[in-house]
Amino acid sequence: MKKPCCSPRVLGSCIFLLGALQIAVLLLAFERPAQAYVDPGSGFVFLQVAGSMVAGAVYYLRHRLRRVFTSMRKPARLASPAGTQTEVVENRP
Amino acid sequence: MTLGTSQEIATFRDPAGSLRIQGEQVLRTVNPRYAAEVLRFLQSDLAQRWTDEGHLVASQVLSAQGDQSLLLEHPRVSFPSYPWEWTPGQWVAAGELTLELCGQLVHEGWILKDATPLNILFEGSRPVFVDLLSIERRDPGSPLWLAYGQFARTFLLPLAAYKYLGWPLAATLNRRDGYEPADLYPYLSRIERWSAPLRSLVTLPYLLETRKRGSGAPHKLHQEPEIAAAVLERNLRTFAKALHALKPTAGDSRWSGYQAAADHYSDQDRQRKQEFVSRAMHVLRPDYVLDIGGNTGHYSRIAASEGARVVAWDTDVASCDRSWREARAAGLPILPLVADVARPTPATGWCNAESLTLLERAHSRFDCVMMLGILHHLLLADQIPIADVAGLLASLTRRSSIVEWVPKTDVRYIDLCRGRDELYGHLDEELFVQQFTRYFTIGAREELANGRVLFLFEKK
Repeated sequence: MKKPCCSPRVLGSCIFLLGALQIAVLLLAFERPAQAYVDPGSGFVFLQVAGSMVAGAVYYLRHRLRRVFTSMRKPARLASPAGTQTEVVENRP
Repeated sequence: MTLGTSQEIATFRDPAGSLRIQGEQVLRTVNPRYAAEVLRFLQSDLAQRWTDEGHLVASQVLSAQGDQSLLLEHPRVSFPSYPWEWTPGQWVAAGELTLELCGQLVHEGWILKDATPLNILFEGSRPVFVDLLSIERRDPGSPLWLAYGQFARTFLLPLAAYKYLGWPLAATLNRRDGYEPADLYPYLSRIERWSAPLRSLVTLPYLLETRKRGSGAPHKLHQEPEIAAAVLERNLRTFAKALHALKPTAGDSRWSGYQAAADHYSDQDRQRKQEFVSRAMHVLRPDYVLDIGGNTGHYSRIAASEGARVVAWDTDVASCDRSWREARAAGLPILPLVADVARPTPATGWCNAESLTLLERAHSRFDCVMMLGILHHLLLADQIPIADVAGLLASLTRRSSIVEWVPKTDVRYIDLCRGRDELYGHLDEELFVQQFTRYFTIGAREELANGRVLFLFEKK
């Protein structure tokens, strides 16, 4: 039987690095606040959204990998998980 | 001297309803739009369990008619306190309770829509969640806790400022919505800025804050319910880790070792003083005791062990924190607060009417008030006239008071007097008794070998 090219731990690390890269890009993309009239809550929201997206992706991939490994051990056909994609919804006032 | 006696206060910020305190009555009005949801939560097993365990304030439905406002009554917490009077340990305990309750709510399909220390009161040494209207149904597809920003501003950043910058937690009196990352950022060293937990609490949020209108972060993220719940629980665990990382280490201060280092007290005198207080408590059987200058809570614990609920005021944060930790570990109903009787906590907020002053809350609420080893500080260091101290004491207690008189020959009196003998030459036991017997009769008097005199006063 052919072994998978990378373990879930390696994949998790890659996703973590991607998350860190995302934060770095965000840091570069936005102006540094120095004056009044900043949006004070936005920093915490950004971090929570970014962290949740990464965590959601890791959870999803773990789930999928577990299913792949399970199906490799058991040849019986398993139902695929229903809709597990992550979607950002625009913030509407 | 005129003392405020108002016990009335009303909240107005929450669109879901308001709370009104009138003397002993605590009434909550829930606006019609939110009434059904609040009733549904109150009828849940979770609400019942939390109320039984003392995590959530009890609620009694007074009126619930169709599409009209819901009227609830809550029992009055023995002595309402504010976060700016809490010790660091109490702040952490309040934060832990908030996160713990939020985690359990998420599990049951609910969530906290706001998260501020003002949602918590202390019943003795135990934190109690009192803001019922903070609980709402959760969007099953959202992994975000939208109240996290408020939790960070009002819990985590004040604790971070206290731990890393030494900013007193009492300063939050002037910061209803806590601190912003930008408040702390300039004062942190480069190493601190990029070390955990300040990196994710201060530095990254500060750098990510935006200035342009409409360019804010998306406040919604949609995931499959199973994933959203798992991610949200993981987020709450991350916030709990940040809170734990901010736990201040129990420190020492000039006063926190006072009981052990009080060299002006022989073991025998200390023993006699303890027995005097213990005897008085046994005879008086007070329900509510105020310990002014409570230090690390030695005499508060004696009162509590006789069945009293004790509130202890002291200006020293480390002593109060130690007192709270010991009371919490022993399960004693003691509420130590960082408060100065010579400069009592003022009212604050809109129109100075969003909180009650310390003396308004304390007026006539106690069966016994103890002032042990504190009177000479008020007279000499704070320069309060003795007649005013007697008047204040009479306004705080309903029945009795235990006061320790410190004579001019006492080493601590001499230290505080600092050579100003002429200024305080008139202060002697005769004047003390004369002023206090305007309001009290002497129930007992015991002079210790070190010259200090213990008085048990009964209110006239």
